[in-house]
Amino acid sequence: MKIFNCETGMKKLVRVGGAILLSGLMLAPMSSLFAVQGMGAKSQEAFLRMRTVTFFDTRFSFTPSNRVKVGDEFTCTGKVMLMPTWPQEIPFSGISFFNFFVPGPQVLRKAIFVNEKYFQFNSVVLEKGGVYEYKMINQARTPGIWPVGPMVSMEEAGPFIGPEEFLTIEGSGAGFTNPVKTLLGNTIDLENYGEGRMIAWTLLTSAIAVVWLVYWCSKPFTRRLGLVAAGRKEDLFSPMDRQVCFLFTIGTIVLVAAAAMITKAQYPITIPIQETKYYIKPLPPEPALIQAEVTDATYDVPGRTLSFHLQVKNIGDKPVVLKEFLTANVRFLNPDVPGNTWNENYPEVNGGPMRVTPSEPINPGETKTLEVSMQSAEWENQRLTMYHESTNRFGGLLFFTDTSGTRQVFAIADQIVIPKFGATMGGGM
Amino acid sequence: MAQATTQTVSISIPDKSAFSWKNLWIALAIITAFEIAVNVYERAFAFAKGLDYFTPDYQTYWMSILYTELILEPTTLIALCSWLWVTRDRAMENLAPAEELRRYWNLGLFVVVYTVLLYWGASYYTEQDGTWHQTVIRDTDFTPSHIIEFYQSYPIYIVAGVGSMVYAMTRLPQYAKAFSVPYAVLVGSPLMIFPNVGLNEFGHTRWFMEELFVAPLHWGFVMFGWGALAILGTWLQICPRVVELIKQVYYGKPATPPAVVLNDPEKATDPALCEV
Repeated sequence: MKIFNCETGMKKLVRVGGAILLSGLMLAPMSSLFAVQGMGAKSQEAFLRMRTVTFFDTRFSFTPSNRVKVGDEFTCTGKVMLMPTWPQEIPFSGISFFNFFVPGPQVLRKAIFVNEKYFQFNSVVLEKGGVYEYKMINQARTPGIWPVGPMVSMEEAGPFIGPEEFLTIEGSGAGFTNPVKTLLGNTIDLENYGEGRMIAWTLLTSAIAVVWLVYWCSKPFTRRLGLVAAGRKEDLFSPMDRQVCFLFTIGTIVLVAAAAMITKAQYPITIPIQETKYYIKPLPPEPALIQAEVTDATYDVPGRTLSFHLQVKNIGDKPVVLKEFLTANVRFLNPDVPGNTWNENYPEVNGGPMRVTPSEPINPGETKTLEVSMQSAEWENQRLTMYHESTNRFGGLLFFTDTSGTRQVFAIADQIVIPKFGATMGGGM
Repeated sequence: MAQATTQTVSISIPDKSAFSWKNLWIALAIITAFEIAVNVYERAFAFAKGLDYFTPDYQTYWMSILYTELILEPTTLIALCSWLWVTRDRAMENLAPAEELRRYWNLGLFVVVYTVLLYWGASYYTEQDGTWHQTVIRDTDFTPSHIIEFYQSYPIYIVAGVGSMVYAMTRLPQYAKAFSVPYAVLVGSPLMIFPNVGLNEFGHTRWFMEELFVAPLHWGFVMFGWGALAILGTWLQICPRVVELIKQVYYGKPATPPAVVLNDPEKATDPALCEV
């Protein structure tokens, strides 16, 4: 009969428990059991989202299924406008990096094109008021459900994010590889390239540090204070100590120098990390159909309605209509324009209808004052309620089209909004 | 250096169990288990339930933790300090050397626990927060990372640090009547990281900056973290008295009586007491 050994049993229990715990730690982020939510962009201030970088024409190649398998490539395309009047509160450097946001390295960024130029590693310098077209090629890496979308990170100003979709990555990430052909023609797998070398160096240098600490910490500490007090501080260092110090100093230098030389011999051809910034011209301006100016704007708080007056002059040769207002990844469509209906594949939030009065097209040469009104719960849901903030200004893009389908994007960059609180909310004013 | 006074109380050699590591290992095991549990929770629910503050799930999975922290932490600090104060030694001038030595041992263990908790807060979770900001978008006050880093791990090490200092002030003659600058820096400087969180959040709300670890807004964290180096000064203050007590208890040599240390604690910090 096998006798249960308590000590051995406990050790096994600890080992098995530890293994389960560590497995849980490693696997928890990969689990698709937990559905994800958005990236929380609406915790950012309204004027930050409405008046800085506006994404439009965004398309994901994985729609409408929003499903890909591990290893599949997919694209995200679209345009961004850097609003012509940048908020004073936010630094503007123009030095920007186009990226694809996702919580953690769940997808690989294979390539990014800005205005059809290839950029993988470098930042680009953008201009206020400029429109830039991008194409991002990504590859699914880790199974799960992830919020994904385009973003622009600007030096000093931080990240600005575009519309998002929830992408389901199916399959197993176990055999995933990321082969890259180097300039010398050999192929390496970036998933584990240099991993062994990195671990070995970390262990080696940590071991040196531990030995150094153990050597000195193992000496009596308080007795050494006494030696100092007795004026015998020279006794603190024995000849052996000096030899150890010499050995560590010279040994470390030799080790680093030798390692550098060995690495240099192993990899004779290298290039430094490229830091060049590319100045990139904005897209050429679209055909001018109209000239416009916002004259006033109000936000009706109880009615959740943003209204503004817009003076528009048609300078083209065809009738023009106002089709859409887009701000902070929320779209409001004019239902009076034929065929202007919501498409479920749009990655933006559907803000609802945009009422334009008068609704008739603006004829060539005609100047009209339009009253644009958008009543929507999304002003509150998306926290685009400017009356809470220190800057009661809004921005966004107006899309005009003529009868031939030609489009002009007009930016409202810096319009003050007067909140209307109503009789019950005015506080006696 | 000759001592001006002689020891008159009878000396008893304490049992070995008075200097046991047991309590430290228990505390470290609890801390480790707690931090691993926190880590598992973060990995399970940070991305899954913690990206959008405005969802009901966020309130359930994260804000409930924050509210619990905000209640438990000050309650623990008040309870611990009150207990230490109520049970303080009211006759320290008669403290037996063996008992004083045992209390220094306990203080050492307390400081080790504080140090480990300080590591989790100011190193592990702070680095983790840097990673969070590189992964998720802009900084806000209540991210899952902040709820663990700022509002859980920092207050916990503050409770341990302040608790250890109150322990010293209520049980050791050296700290009962005088104020130790290095000890105050050791506890107070990392404590100031917590108020600095307020400045940090104000800055991120007002200045809309790029989230960089090296941003000037974050310098306060580093500066106050460096205050932990005052542990060297603290040990320099403690060591001479500990050596003096060891020599008294185990070798029968005379030592400064606790009543003298109580009124002139600087006497007990003389490195000459470490002479062998």
